[in-house]
Amino acid sequence: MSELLLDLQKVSRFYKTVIGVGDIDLQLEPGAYGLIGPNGAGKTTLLNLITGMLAPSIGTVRVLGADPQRERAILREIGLCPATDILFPNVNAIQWVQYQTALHGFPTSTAHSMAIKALEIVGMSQEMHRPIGSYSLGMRQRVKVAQAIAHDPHLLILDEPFNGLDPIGRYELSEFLREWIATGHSLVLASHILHEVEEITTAFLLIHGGRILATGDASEVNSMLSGFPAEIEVAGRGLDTLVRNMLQQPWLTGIQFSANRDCAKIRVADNQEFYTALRDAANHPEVNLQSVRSSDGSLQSAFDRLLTVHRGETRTQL
Amino acid sequence: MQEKSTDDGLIQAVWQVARFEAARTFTFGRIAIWLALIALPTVLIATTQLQSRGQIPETGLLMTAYVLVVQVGCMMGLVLWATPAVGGEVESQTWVYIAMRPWGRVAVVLGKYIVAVGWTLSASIPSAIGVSLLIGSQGLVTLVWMVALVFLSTVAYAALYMLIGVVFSRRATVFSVIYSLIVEGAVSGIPAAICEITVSYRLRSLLVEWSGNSELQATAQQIYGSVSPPIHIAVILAYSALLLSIATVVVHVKEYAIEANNAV
Repeated sequence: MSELLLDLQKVSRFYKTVIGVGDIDLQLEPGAYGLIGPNGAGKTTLLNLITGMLAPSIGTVRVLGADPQRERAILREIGLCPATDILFPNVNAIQWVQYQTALHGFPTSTAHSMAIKALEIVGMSQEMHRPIGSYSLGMRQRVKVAQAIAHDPHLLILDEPFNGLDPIGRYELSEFLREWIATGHSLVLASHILHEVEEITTAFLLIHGGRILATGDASEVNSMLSGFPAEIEVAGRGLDTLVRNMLQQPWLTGIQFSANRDCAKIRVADNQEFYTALRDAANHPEVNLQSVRSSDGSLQSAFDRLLTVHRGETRTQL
Repeated sequence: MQEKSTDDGLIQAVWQVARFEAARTFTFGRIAIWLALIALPTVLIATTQLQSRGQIPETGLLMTAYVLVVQVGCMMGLVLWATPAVGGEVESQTWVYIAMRPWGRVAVVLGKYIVAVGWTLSASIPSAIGVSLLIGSQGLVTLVWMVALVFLSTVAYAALYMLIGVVFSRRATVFSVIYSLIVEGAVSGIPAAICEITVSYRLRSLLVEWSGNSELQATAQQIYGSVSPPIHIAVILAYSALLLSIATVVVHVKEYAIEANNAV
């Protein structure tokens, strides 16, 4: 596939006076992406635009080169596992997945064998003849994944797929998704739980308030945040001297020492200024730094800082 | 895993929806309704005849049979099956899966239309047989025109309720009942050109022609004038095709179940 996986140009979607998503410009090459944002951030609206369930109020959406609203044949290349539950209590998994696969235009016998294969992949072979109403939430989740992959789409979209899964289920789904990516398929995984996404992909789209705040991998997102508030943890000897040299700086907003004063959490309004000052201060003969790191180097930290910037809170408080 | 889907995707999809939905008709509740629709008109007419000791005039029996089987029976079956075609999917949160298939939206309308027509005919035809045996002396002739009327009624009202269900996916049943009472009930009885927009008028005109009942024919001639049966049949079939086509267009473009409060 030479086309862009997703190409969104100036896309906004309004629900009367409410903005679902606003002014999204997004061009993504085929690959795996985590769509991350808190509940109500606009993830589902964005997915609905990508899958053609919704038309943009402004702008254009193209998936693999096609408009999913007008050129519905492209839906054969997309598998969607939505966040909503399956409510077909009297139908069993094989009937339902076969039905969903056949709706893509496959003959019944082909759809049947594809459904069996998909259910096998998600570990539902043993239970596929039982009515869906008798399944646990985790089992229904697997069946939803099976209907999304049975027709072998290029792009798999999952909306909060880990909901209701027990730890083993989570592990198995994560393994499957890693394998899915490894075989050259594309993935968009929407979640509000960052560490689940970090286990599967390193490329992120951070969404909040209907806007994409940042895209890229964790380090790119962090580098975007240079010049913004941060909390940095330094460890070593001579930290009193190190900090003394910074006390008069306007960008220093707080310091918290450990009991034996060999570790300090330093809060700054501008992390670039801090790192410049740190380089000079670290040359002092009394200072011997052992480590310098963001107090929480995870994507969660980066995301929290992005939200802080997005809300206009430019200075952190002690 | 890659297999090729067939080019006749819409036909396949319609067939799959019809197959899937037909399999879902075999539940206790639905079979009970089906049996009730078959039995009710026959039981009511038999009871009435027994109580009146055969004193009810044939015209009265004919009209009662027509109303019970062709109008009420067919309408009830179709309100249950055709009206919630899309609303049911939306409420059970399965619409998103349907809409993610290239032909899913249109296939749901056409596939469920086929099942609604099939299910209603399977109840209304036995019902027509039952009442035909009870009324009049021309049992077989009555049966033939009664079945023809049941067929036309089912085909037309299924398309009508399908369109109402597609346009008003929420409270579609309420809208269907209101429409039936006002338009198919009241408006169809108005002795003016406006009654010609209703299916009821066409079906009643065919009843008058085919039953050969002179009393009915004299009254109808006075009120509605005379239109030949082939025209009525053509209008009913064209009307059904038009409504169903509009329903497929609406379902293709309409956005369902996506509200600001649950989609953001």
